[in-house]
Amino acid sequence: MNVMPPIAPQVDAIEAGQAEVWLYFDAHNDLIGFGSIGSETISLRDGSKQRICVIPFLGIAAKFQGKPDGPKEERYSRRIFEGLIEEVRRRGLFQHVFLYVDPRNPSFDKFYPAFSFAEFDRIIEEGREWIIMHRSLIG
Amino acid sequence: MSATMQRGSAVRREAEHIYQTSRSLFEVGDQESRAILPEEQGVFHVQLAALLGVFAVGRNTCAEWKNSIFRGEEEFSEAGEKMMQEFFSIWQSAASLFKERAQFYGRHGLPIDPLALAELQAQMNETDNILRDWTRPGLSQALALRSRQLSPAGETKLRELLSEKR
Repeated sequence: MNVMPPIAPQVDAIEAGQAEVWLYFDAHNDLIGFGSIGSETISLRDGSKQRICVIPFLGIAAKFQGKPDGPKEERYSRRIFEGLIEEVRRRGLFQHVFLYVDPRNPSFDKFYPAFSFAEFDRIIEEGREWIIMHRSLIG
Repeated sequence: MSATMQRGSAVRREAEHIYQTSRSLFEVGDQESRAILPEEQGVFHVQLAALLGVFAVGRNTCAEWKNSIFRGEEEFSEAGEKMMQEFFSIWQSAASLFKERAQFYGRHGLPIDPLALAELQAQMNETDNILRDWTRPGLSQALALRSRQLSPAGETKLRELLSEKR
């Protein structure tokens, strides 16, 4: 699997310099998917602000979902996601990673928990509920 | 007016001030005898340093303004966009004056610090790029990149997480 940093479909985030996005290709140069790392500002009630690390985008092309056949650990989605977490850890800037997921998305209770992500908070944004999930990188 | 807009307004005024005072200074210099050029050149150096400095502040302010809109901390306004673009346009006009004047001093045996001139040219190039590739800032499409508050329980958990040691 080839990785091409840092161009992306999420152009607004890249243009704003707020996220890095990696595209992943197979040996035939077909786009497998993309993954991203960025940061978000949390406004605390005492007026202070806290930056947290987020994974804002993760996408796998339809024809590569559930592929390649074989053990789950070898699937593209898992390898891409694992790679993003390792990249955050390697940089050493944050000790925690967060992401947002629609509670109706099966990834919420299947995919992300497999990587030690757990529900952290719930928010309503533009009339829609989102779950913030968290994983610690400490230890 | 937001803090970034206020700063944007201040740097725009400062760029305008440098532009106007430099125009007056350099026009007078053209008409005067060569004897006063060294004195004028001294003022030029001070003004050039101010011009280079105001660019850095203006560029950072514009980036903060765009980020602030992207993160949903500030609403986009056309007035704000006009102000930021005007800053770069005015700055570019002033920079062209300084570049021409530096060449004029050079012709009269009074060369300007080449490092400062290289910096001026680099900033002029950057300004060209900023104005040519200008994109209107907008709210992040990605929810995770917008600024927000957590629920009270979420905030408590975050504080606990952040107080943990490695």
